[in-house]
Amino acid sequence: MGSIIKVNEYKDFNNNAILTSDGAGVVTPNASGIKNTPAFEAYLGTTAGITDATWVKATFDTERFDTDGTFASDKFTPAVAGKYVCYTGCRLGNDGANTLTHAMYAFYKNGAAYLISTTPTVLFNSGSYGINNFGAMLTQTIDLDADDYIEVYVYCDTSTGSPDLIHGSFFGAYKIIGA
Amino acid sequence: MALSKVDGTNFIAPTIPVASGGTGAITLAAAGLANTPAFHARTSTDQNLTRSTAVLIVNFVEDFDVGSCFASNRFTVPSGEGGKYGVYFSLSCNTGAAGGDGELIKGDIYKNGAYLTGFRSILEDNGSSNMYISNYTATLTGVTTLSAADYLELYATTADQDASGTVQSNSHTIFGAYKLIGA
Repeated sequence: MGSIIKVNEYKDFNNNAILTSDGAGVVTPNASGIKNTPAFEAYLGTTAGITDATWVKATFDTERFDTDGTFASDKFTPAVAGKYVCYTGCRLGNDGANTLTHAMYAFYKNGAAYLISTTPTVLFNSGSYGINNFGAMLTQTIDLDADDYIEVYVYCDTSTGSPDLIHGSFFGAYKIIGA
Repeated sequence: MALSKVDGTNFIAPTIPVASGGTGAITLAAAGLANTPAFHARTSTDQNLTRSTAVLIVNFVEDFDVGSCFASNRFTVPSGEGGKYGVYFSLSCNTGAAGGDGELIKGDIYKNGAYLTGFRSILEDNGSSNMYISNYTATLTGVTTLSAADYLELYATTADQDASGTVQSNSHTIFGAYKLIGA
């Protein structure tokens, strides 16, 4: 036979809060282990010029949210070990010159390219027309230690015009629970 | 000492959804409170693709698989785990062996053997221009509702302009999914 226990707070025996409820059915998870945090998302507010045909660290100057202060200097350092869904959407352009022939971007883990073969890439044959800009989104679940860090790097090769990382490009991550 | 396990009938019971050792560190003991099942896999070798044909991507190796949900290049929702899932792939292809004149690179998620509408990433020219794709990575992230026993697979469709060779999917193509909580 089942029974019901009514509580507004659920704590462990050392008084650490696990769950609370406001009595109206709105439950707040308190313990970090039952939240998809740390979590952040940041974006680039103003289009930034980048060096042609060179892997360049992407900048994201504006935070949409950053639950635990784990994003700074265009770098995510989780502070808590776990598996993190990391995602980024970048758009690379060349001032409308329509000569973009090679574009890539990738996650870097601790300063080195992470699974570089999975990077969103477009590369055209030398005899091909180029394009104006390239945008795509990359998602990867990455196992991170507390002091590991993730950055986004981009690459853009264009024969004329100046390569840009276009405003609105974004970068985010959140911890997945129980994995 | 305070009680550590309660099930509503007995003060001491085998299982509660959330357990803590008194340190505030939480252990999840019940389904529904974790982003699982979850897996992340990537291909270990290149794969030759058949021109203008949807080809199942194979040779996946797991980076992790919580819930034993991924096998034989297929994500299958375990019993009792229906719900909404975040799904993503990154399909990397090259046309080098076909002469570098690619005109179509397309990645699709199939659900139960058929294209899952909307879960497509594609680059295609009109077949008569001078745009020759040498490399392209088709990427996608989305959320879909799945029932127990539903399964997802990654398919690639490619073509080169003069039909002279074979387009390949590259090693390290990735495929992953995880369950959303309470959605």
